[in-house]
Amino acid sequence: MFNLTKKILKPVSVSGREEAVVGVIAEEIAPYVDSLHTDAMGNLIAFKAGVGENKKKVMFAAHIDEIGFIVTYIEENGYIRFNTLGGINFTSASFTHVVFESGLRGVLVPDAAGGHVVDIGAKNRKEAERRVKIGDTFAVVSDVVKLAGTRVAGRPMDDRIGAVVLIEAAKRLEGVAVKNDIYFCFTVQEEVGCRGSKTAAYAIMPDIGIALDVTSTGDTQGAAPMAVKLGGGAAIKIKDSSVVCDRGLVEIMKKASEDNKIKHQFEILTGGGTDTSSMQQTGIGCLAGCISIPTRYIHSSVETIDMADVEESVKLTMALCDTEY
Amino acid sequence: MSKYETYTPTELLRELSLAFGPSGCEGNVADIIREFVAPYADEVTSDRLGTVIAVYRRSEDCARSADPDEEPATNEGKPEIDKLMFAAHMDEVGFMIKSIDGDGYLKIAALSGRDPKTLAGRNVTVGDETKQYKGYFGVKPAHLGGSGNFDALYIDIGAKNKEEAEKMVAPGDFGTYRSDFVRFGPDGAYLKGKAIDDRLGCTVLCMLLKKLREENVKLPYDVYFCFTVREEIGSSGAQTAANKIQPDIGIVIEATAVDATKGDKYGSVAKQGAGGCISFMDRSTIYDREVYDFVLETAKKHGIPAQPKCYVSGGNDAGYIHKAGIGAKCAAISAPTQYIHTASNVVKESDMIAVLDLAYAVMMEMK
Repeated sequence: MFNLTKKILKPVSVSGREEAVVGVIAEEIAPYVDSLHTDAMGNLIAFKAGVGENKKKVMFAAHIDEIGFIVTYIEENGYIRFNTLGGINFTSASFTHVVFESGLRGVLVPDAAGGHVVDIGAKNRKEAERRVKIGDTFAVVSDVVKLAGTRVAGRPMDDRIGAVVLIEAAKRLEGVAVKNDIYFCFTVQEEVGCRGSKTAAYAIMPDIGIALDVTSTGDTQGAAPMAVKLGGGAAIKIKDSSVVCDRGLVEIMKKASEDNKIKHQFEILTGGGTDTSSMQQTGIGCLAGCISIPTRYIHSSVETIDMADVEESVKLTMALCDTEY
Repeated sequence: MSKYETYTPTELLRELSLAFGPSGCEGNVADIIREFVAPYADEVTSDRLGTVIAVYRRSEDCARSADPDEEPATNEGKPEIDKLMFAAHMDEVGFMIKSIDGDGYLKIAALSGRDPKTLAGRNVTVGDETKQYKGYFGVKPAHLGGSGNFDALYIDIGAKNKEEAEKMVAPGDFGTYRSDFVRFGPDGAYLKGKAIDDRLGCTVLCMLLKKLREENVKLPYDVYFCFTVREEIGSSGAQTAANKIQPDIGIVIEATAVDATKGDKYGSVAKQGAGGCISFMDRSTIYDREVYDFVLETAKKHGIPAQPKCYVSGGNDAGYIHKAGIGAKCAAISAPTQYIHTASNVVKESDMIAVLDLAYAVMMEMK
């Protein structure tokens, strides 16, 4: 799964500009599902039909946008001014290499006034304008490296690693008849307010909605006390700041984990929301929950995960495809 | 025959600007619009919240692929479309009367954001769709320790006491600026009035519909002209209209801020006189890039002035239209307007015409 992870993390696809990663994911998952389409907002929806008598519509959602930046102005001296897409931590983003959708590189540095600019090496505005235009987007460069054991650091784990889980689950279910109708959704614009999952959920009107996203851990440097541990297995969400998960579904997820000997833990995230909330509240609503992948240093360039947790999350996703709800 | 038949865009903007229409009380504005669009629309309806929807239906004889064997017309680089929704909001920033004090003065709550500094001493109209009274924003004079704080403001409607005031207005009634509509500047190029945000958009929509009908344009898609309510307090009108219509593409016509960061050399929003501002992002929407590029390309192709809106701020009806139901691709074309959310919005007449021309060209290019 490490190679797949590297591949899925690589495309520059900040909120609202996810076409590049949609292309990569569509190619990756197409052989393993019955149909694929994108909606008006750009969500990629992959469908696998179920065979159960009492089959339900189960929607899995992993967001594929990443936090990043959008060009607002080019200065006379060639420096580029920008606005942010999603929650940028400038302690991490300062003095980094950045990459535009076109592949153009630059460096993000602080200015004298407490703001930030990007230097693409252009001598003046005219030269910069040949390479960059207002509205172009860019992100901190993705670099994914193996640490000790099964741990991996890089960006944007949030939330491409959720997409990796869904793709891997679809692959392993090739030729397997599952009980439920499964919608693997790769949603857009989560980092700017869970926007994409709203339209995807409206089109599907699922019975069960399960997000795949990263969560903080209690063993991150400087973290507030929190029960989730890196390497502690798939985290079953009970609550975050956007949602209280359906209690019955949490029980079903717990039982599926126990029945399939999947290492799991329970999560209450006190800061941050997920697509879980928009699935729960769209249209006539659905039973909503979330499988979280424990991640240290979220929204930095060195988001750190344990592939062992990813493996458990894949198993739990597969089990939930075949669960009687 | 409607009295509006011979109106120019500026004459219609004047009529709409002067109408009383704070968020939640848009009936007077809706009446003007209904009368204007009646001769030109195939259908005019209102939804439960009060949004007026005027429809220009497609022509069946220019449907896209009547003959399945025929090579489909190339649509390269053009957005696919079945239903196009235009949205402009009828409401203006306003006030709501909270209470009447013993001396007959009105205490108020704000309907959406404004700077209290722009209020003291202003003319105001209070009431509702059926009765309106003149009033003035009172504030304790600076000599007596007056304050720019919103809570220190009140409206004086000339009532002797509470009893007399209660005969005129009641808590829950509305208020708006009272401000004349003026053409000014050495060449008379600028227009000033209240509520140009977004009666300008309403004017543009009315004129687009009129032009479609007068030129008997055949379109392969339906156009829904939506005059929305309550944008300034959270776009609830656009939300319900978009849910009902489920458009493929939504285009918001707005009046946007200019130079919100005057003195900040790299933050200029837009320049007046340089045409409509096309948004790539604001606080409510990341605009669809295909449609954004298409609008800019159309402007270039037709030689209509347009500019990117170079500052990420504010929001508009697109925030709800793009994620209503199964979603819609959205664009926003805005006239750069000075001093929005005050009694004196200032727009350059040529920018309004550029927005109108661009919106029309966009429809023609989508054929």
